[in-house]
Amino acid sequence: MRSDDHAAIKAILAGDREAYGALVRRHSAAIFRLAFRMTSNEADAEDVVQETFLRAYQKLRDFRSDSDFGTWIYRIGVNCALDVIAKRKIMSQEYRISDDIDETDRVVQVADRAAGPERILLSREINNRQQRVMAQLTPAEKAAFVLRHVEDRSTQEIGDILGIAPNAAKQVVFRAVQKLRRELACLRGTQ
Amino acid sequence: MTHLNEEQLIDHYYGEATNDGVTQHLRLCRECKVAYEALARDLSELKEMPVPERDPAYGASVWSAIENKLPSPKPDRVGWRLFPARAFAFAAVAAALVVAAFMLGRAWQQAHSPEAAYVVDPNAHKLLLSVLLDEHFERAERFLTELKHADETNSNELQRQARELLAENRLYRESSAKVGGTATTHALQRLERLLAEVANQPDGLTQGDLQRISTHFDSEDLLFELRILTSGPVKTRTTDIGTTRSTI
Repeated sequence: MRSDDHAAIKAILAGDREAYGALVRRHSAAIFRLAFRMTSNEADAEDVVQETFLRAYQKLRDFRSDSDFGTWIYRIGVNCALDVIAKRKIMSQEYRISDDIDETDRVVQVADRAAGPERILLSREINNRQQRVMAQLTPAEKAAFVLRHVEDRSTQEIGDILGIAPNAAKQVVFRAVQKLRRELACLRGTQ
Repeated sequence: MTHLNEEQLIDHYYGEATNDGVTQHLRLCRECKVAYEALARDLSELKEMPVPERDPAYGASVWSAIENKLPSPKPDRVGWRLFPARAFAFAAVAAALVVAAFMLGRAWQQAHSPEAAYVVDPNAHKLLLSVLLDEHFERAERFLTELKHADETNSNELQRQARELLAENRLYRESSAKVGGTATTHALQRLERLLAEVANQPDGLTQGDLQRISTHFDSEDLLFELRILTSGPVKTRTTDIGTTRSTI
C-alpha cells in the first residue's frame, strides 16, 4: 500500500480532515475514469466521484491497514457506479441503449478534435457500437470487464474490488467477453 | 490435435495462461491461430474507451465540492480493526446487554430501596442500545445495497454476511422488544426474516433466488425504513425505544 496513503489515513483518523483532501486529490481522476467507463455519462460520473469519497470518509474506520487504499476506494467507486446505473434503469425502464442515442443529453461522445469529418464520423460510429455492445452486460460484468480490459487489473485485484474470489472474477470476465463478441458479431452481420 | 477453447484463448490474451503449451499450440495450429486473431481483433475494438479529459486541478475541485458535506469527525473508538469483526460485534452486544441488565437491576433495587444514595438514569441503557443499533443498521444498509446488485458470483460472501448479521439481529430484536421500541423492533423483525432467507439457502443463491428474495421481502422498502431510522439523531431513536409511539 502506498505509504503516503497510509500516513494520510492515520492523520484523518486522528482528526486531520485536510489530510482527506490529499487522498481525494490523489485518487479523483482514477475514480472518474472508472465511473465514466461504467456509466458512459459525464454528469453521472461526476456524481459517482463525489459520492465515492463521501462514502469512503464515513467508512474510513473500517479500512484495514493491510489493504491497499486504491483497491478499497475502487470498490466503493464500483458500488456507487452500480447504484447510479440501477437508479437510471429504474427511471428509464430500459437497459439497452436505444437506437436513437441523444448525443447531447445522456451520452458523451468523446470526439478526436484533431480529426477530419470522416474520422470524426468513424470515431462516433465506433463509440456507438461500443456502447451498444457494452449495454449487453450486467453491471457486475461491465465492472469486471472495464477493470480487466481497460484498467489492466489482475483477477486478484478485480476479486478484491468486487468482493468475490479471483476465480469467480475470471469467470465474470469470460462471460463478459463472450457476450461482447456475440453482440459485435451481430452488429457486423447487420451492417 | 485438441484445439484450444475460448476460455484458454481469453486467458492467453490477458497473459494469464499457466503454461507455455498455449503459445506453442498457437504456433503449430492454424485453426486456433485464426481463432485467436479474431478474438484479439474483437477485443482491440473495445480497448479504447475514451474518457473526457480532466485537468490537473480536478482533484482539488472535487475536494472543494465535498469538503463541507463531510460529517463531523467521530472519535476513533478502537483505531483500525484489531479484532475479527464478528468476535468484536458479539463482544459489543454482550457487553451492552450486561450493562443493560446491571442497570435494570440497579433501577429495580432503587425502586425498592427508598433510602438509595443516588438515582440511576432509566434512559442510560436505552441510549446505549440505540448507539449499538446505529452501527448494526448501517451494516444492514450496506448488506441490502449489496443484495440489490448481487449476482451468483458473490452469493457466498452475501450468505456469510447474512449469517453474521442474523446472529446479532436476534439479540438486538429481543432487547428492543423488551424496552418497547416499536418501530425499531418492527424493522429488526423484517430484517431478520430476510437475513434468515439469505443465510439458510442450502445450495447457495441463484440469480432467481436473489430476485425472489428482494421482491418477496421488499428489500428496497426495508432499506428505506432503515435509512429513516438511522437518519434521525440518536435522541429521536431513544424516544422510539421506550415508548409505543411509531415514528413511521
